[in-house]
Order: sequence, then C-alpha cells, then structure tokens
Amino acid sequence: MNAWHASPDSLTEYVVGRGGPVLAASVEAHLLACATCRGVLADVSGPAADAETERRWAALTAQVDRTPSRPLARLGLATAPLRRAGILALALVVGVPLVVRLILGEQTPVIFLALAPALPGLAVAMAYRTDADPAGEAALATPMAGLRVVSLRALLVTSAGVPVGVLAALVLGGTLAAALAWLMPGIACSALVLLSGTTRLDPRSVAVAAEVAWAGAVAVPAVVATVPAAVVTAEMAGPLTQVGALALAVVCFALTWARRDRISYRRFA
Amino acid sequence: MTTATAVHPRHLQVRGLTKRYGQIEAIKDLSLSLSGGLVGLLGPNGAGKTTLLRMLATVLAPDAGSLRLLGLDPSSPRDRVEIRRNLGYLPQSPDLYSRFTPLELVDYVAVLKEHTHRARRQEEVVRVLTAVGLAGVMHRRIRTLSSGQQQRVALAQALLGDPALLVLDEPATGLDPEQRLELRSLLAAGAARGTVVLSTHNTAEVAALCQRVLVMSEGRILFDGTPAALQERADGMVWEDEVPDPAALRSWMTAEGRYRNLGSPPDGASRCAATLDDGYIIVARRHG
Repeated sequence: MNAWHASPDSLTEYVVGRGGPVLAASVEAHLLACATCRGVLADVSGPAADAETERRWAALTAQVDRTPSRPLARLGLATAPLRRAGILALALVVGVPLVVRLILGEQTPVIFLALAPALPGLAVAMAYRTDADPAGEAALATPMAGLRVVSLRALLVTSAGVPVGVLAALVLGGTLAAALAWLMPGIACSALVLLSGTTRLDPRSVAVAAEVAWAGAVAVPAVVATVPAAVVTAEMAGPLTQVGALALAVVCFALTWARRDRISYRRFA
Repeated sequence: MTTATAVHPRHLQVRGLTKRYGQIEAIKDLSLSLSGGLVGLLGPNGAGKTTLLRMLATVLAPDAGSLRLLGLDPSSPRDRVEIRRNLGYLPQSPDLYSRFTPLELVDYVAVLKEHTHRARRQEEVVRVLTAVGLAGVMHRRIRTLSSGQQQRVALAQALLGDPALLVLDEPATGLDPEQRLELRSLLAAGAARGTVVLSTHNTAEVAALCQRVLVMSEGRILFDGTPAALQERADGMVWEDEVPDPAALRSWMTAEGRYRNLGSPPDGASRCAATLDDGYIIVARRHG
C-alpha cells in the first residue's frame, strides 16, 4: 500500500484533462497501485466530468447560437420582392435577347441595348419599396433609414446583374462596345428613378417610363427605319449618347443628394 | 464625428399637427404635450391613431405643425438620427420577412440601429428575444411561429437598446392573456425609462397600464386625462332595464339577459356603476 496519495486537485485536473501529459502519466501510474486514490477518483470524476461536459456544451451552443452576420446580404438580396426584381431584370437582359436571337437572328444587340438599362432602374425602384425590407416599416424608424440603405440595396441587386448582362451581350454575339454601351444609360435610368423617390411619383412608374423611352429611342430606328443593328449600336456607344447619359446621371444624383432628407423623412404614406 | 445631441427622455410635444392623404385630413390641427410614462391611444378605426403614431416614430413627416420628440426636432436630419437612436417602433402591420429566424430579423434591425460591435449586438439581440419569451424559438423561421410569437418578434426589435421612446401600434394584437401580462411588465419597464405611447382597442389594457389616455376620433383628440377620469365621464349615465331604451346612445344585452343602456337615464332608472368602456363610448359617441 502507498504511503502517499494523489491530491484531489490533481485527480480533478486529470479527469477534466487540464493537467498536461506529465501529470496524467504520474497520476495513471499511481492509480494502478493505489486503491484509495481510485476510490477518490470515482468520487471526484462524477461532478468534475459533469462540470466539464456542461462547460463544453455551453461553448458548443454558444458557437451554434452565434448570430450569423450577413447584414449586407439582408439589406440587398434577402426579401422576395428584391429577389423577384433581380430575376426579372436578368430575364429581361439575358432572356429576351436570347429569344429574339433564336427567332430573328441579327437584331439581338439592339434588343439587348434597348432592355439592359431597365436592370439598374428596376433595382432602384424595388429598393424603395417598404416590403423589400426584411423588417418592413420598422426599418424606416432606424438611424440608418434613408438614401444610404436604398442605394446600398439597389447597388447589391444590380451588382449581381451587371456582369451577367455584359457577359450575355458578348456571348450573344455583340461587340465589346455594344456590351458596355448600356451601362451609362443604365446608370442614368437608375439615377432618374432614385430622384423620383424624393417626389410624389411612384419610382416603379418612373422606371417603366424611363425604360420605355429609352427602348423606343433604341429600337424604333432599327425596327421602323430598318437601320442596321451595327449602326444603332455604334450610335448608342458613341460620345453623344454616352455623354448625354452621364450628364443626366450627374444632375439626377446631385438633385437626389440635395433632396435626400425626403427619403429619410417621408411626406407620403 | 459630431457630438451627440442631448436627449430628454420624457419630453414630447406636438403643436398644430396636420396630415392629409389627398382630400382626407387624417390629423387635424392636433396639439399634445407628454412628459413620460405610459400613454394609451383609444379610438375607432380611422380615428388617426396610426397616422399620429407614424409621425411620432419619425416614419412620416407632417404637412403642417411642429413636433418635438425627446426634446429634439425630427425635421432636422441630425436631430432625427438622434431621435431614432433612442426610439423603438412597432408598426401596426410589422410585415417581417418570414424566411428569417427571429434571431436574424432582430439582428438585422440591430445593424440598422447602429449596433456595430458584433459580440455586443449578439448579446443585445438574445437579451430582447429572451425578454419577450422567444429564447426557445429564436432559431426557427418566423413563418413557422404562431401569430402571437410573430408579434413578439416585432416587439423584440422595438425593445433593442432599451429606447427612451417606445411607439407601439396595437402591441397586444395576437397575444394570449398570459403574454399580455408579460407585455405589461415590459411596457412598465419602458415607461420607467422614458415615454411609451401605444394604441389599442382594448380598454382593459389602458386601465391596467396607462397613466394617461387619449381618445381620438376623426383626427382630433376628444379626451385627454387619466383612465379614472375617462370612466367618470359615464358616471350616472349607465342604467339597466328589461328592454333596450331607444333614447339611449347605446344599448346592449348583458350576460344576465338585461339591457345595459348608455346616455341620459330616464327618471327612476336602475343606474349602475360605469366602466372605462362606458366612458370611452360616451366620449367617442358624443363627438361622433
């Protein structure tokens, strides 16, 4: 029989695995030869092991319960109306030109150019809707409510569609100029819709009106006057259209910034 | 970074407030001054309660008149942000995104409320969800919860950060009697911190909770006082009879099969004690 015994603290540390390999080897060697310490071990191992299990379980649940931090995704892409807007915009930009190409063939770049600017405009219009926000009307009473949230949400919806739109234009047989020519008119369209959110006008109606006007300007010469697609595309990609769209976008953004308080503090229900 | 504007938790003032929806005047030249505590808004549908609450929540700007919330002016962008930092708002139709879990939804609102520190935000989100009794279902999708639980999710987001001003549009909707009792404790705690303004159709809630009650109709305040004072408006104006009295403002059959009449009692009528409901009906019907 041993004249000395392992201390209860050492046995507890051994049970919960905190003592390190040297202590573990020493305690195990002693336990093989000491029935008294094996008895003490049986007494301490129950509560100590329970406490350790409790600690590990708490750590695990804390890890599982960690709030998923996806605020950007929630601001932009989470709700059904925004997802629908993104899918509709992509269908317009990619689906319609594809169908046209299958049916008509050569006018695909013109149809694409006519429809693509609707994508960012639609995104902005949807971003204004209260039901596009996961928290609904409650979000309007938060410090971040206003132009910041609307712009961020629209940007996120658009950012998914723009690369797809450019790629689709190239795949559908357009030139790089044609694939990029819609971007500036698209920005102008979205700026116009953004500005409409500071007025009594419904941003969705403004988005549709702007798109119809643009589509008419692009498609009518090609369809009615049978101007070749290459000529229409070159004109839309040319400096006159691009600088004009840039100027419109700058003016609309400036006016929106000046009137941004009307987005944060709505005068209309 | 600008310095924070001073907030007065118990200061809320409305002067000549007017709001129109087209030709309809929802709020008519309304003036009001509150100095903290729990204030209940009673009134029939279309009385203007929701419109008033939306303006108090800085969601809607008035067409005319002025507002001072927590001592600040919501028409000033800087003041408005400061008000919203100290504001909790429960809309009449919360329209929460049902694919989120309560944890995700309240976390999202916490982000909008500038709770930027992730660990502290998580603590706060769990705290408010626990306070409304949703700790056990915080990981379930909102669409799988009962209407009472969904209402409590909406209430939880309003409680984030223990706001000095709580604006609650029918907070007891969908709650069972036990949950209503829990709601009372939460609202009493909110009133101790600052100001709670709530709308309800339930006079029992008002009697149990509110230090002050406002009765609204057609965009105007018809009564402003304590629940006891509202009840007193019907003193001596309630009587029971075997048949309904055609001259009464209102008559209805009680559980005992007798008719309870409200109005100017005839001579010899069997008068009975008035309730808060009676007081409310007297005030609302006289101006209706």
